[in-house]
Amino acid sequence: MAKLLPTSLVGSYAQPEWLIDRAKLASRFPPRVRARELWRVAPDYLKQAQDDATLLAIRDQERAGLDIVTDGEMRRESYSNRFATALDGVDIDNPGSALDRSGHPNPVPRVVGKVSRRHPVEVDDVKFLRANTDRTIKMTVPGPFTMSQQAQNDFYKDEEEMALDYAGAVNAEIKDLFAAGADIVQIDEPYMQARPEKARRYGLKALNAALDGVTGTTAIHICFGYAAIIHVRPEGYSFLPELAGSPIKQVSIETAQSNLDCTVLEKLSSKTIILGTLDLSDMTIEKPETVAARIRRALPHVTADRIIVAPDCGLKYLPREVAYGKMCAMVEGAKIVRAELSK
Amino acid sequence: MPAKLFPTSLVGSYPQPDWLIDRARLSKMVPRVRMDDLWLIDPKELEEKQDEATLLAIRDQERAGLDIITDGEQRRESYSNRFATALEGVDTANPGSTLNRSGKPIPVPRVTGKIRRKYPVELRDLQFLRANTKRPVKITVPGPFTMSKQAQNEFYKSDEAMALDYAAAVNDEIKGLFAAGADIVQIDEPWMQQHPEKAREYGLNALNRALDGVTGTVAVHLCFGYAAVVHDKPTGYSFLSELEGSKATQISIEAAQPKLDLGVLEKLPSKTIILGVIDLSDMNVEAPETVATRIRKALPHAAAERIVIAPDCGMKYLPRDVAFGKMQAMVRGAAIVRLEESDD
Repeated sequence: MAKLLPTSLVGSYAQPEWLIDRAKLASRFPPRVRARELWRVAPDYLKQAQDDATLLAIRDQERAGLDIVTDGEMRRESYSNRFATALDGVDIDNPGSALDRSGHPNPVPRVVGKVSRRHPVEVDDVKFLRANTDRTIKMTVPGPFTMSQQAQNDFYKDEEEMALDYAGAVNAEIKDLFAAGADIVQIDEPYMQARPEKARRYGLKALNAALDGVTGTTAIHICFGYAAIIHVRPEGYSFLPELAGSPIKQVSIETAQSNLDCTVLEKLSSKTIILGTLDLSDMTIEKPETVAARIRRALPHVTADRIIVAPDCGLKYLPREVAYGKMCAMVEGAKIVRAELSK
Repeated sequence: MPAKLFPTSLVGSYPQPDWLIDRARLSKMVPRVRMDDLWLIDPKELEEKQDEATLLAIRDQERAGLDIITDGEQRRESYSNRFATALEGVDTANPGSTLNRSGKPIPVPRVTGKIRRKYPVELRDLQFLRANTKRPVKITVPGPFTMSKQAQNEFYKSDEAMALDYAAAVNDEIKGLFAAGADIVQIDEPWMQQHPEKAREYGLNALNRALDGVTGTVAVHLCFGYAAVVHDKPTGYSFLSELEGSKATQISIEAAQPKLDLGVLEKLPSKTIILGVIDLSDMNVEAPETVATRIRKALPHAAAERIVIAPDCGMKYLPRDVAFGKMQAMVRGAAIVRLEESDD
């Protein structure tokens, strides 16, 4: 029997101070175009330093006891910009502008031609991750809908068409990631929550296109934005039950900071829920019992064998010792509930 | 159940990352005085980056499957200069000169007063290592004899008197390291091989003084010099059997590259042998069977229970991927012979 309540990150882990200017990273919106000036290691050594930071992120996850391990997204300035700026059809040297979910303009790639994937972007990353842990591994890719919202469309007649081409690029990437050894691939679609009408109109269609012909275990992450940047949270998602109809197998949601009414999970009865149980706005490390209580809150609405225990969102902006402590608390909290369930 | 046969361990150092230290310059000489400018990092951030490099070194050893873990000496420019230059009585700002083992003059600390340990030097290193692995840990300190040979004596009447004060400093350090959780402390004394007469004259005395009142497991490492620096190696040690009379309980020797005649191990019947089975002059990763053959060669001369499997010397100068591959080969080679021994 598979272990109940396996633990996992959503995707990112805290990057080391020596690798990237964390103060600068935190003082701005997540970069949508490249922000190479954030890196603190000379270009000649940057790849080795990113590899080493990845090994440390893997080690921290393993030491904390996580069952599913990511590469911590150490090589990324943001969850989306590394992939989004590697595509054909986008001009990143002369960026456009789009409103961030906070309503502020942020420089974004300008779409000036047909969007397509030039080459695999994260395949080396997943190979590196596969080579360096024996545990189950997960890779994240930015979702087509979110990328279409983080772009200035100067080419397509309508945004849906653009989103579908983004989906084509993501689809090719996902297939390559599974071929290279990924156990789970997660599509990050935070903007489905930020733009629910558009998400309903063509976001789901783009998501399904991204999954076309994919046979591996796929997840989707939807959230209210980084706690470090978006401070206020609604108590419910504006876009979530819609995912019941998608072929995606796992849905990653935040419940800790938002104090989410978990009843909504009943509408996702065919999905595994990656349950956010760490509040990333609070730099105090949760007690295992607090995590356990957050897991128990979901149990009336989701069968235990469909729950993966996770933080609310990426740990990128947390101080590393806090991030590590929270992972440990999460593992301990899951252990408490696992023991209760086995009685 | 008896302890696991053929536990595996590094001698001490592991390759440092390219982003941490100028490895091209590092490989050109072994510094005896401080060479702060080798580090590629702003001094304010150096300790943090050295910590990270240490975590990587620990992780690589754990993943390769080593049983005994070191900190990889990521914080050191050389195995000896960090400790040697932290002592009272040495002038490192106005260095003296001595001949290195290749016969070239090199800058060394000038001894201008009584040698004394001012403060614990490697204590934080050991605490960091202890906090970051559950496996047994080993930490290395430079030996008093070697430090005395890597110094210019302008204070002591005799080199022996100087070596004994170095020994007292090492003794303080070793006790502190054991108190902080070290499972094994290794004294690096490569220059005992280089200067065997002097080593017999007072090196052993100094070594025993360094071990005075120490109750933990102590090893001594002797070698012919870094493969990257010293190329022709004799097939026998000029100084080795003398260590049978020392208080150290483990002796680390290189056997792979020099194709050492292992008959000499019979002269160390009471010691555990840290057997060098990885040739660090060869950038090809050994086949596990090659490692196994090298281990088997020792078995007629040393009981299996007294053998720890290791590289010939520190891996500091190897490319990291080669070093990692060689550690894996070592672990697999040890597993082959362990299986054979348990079948007997």
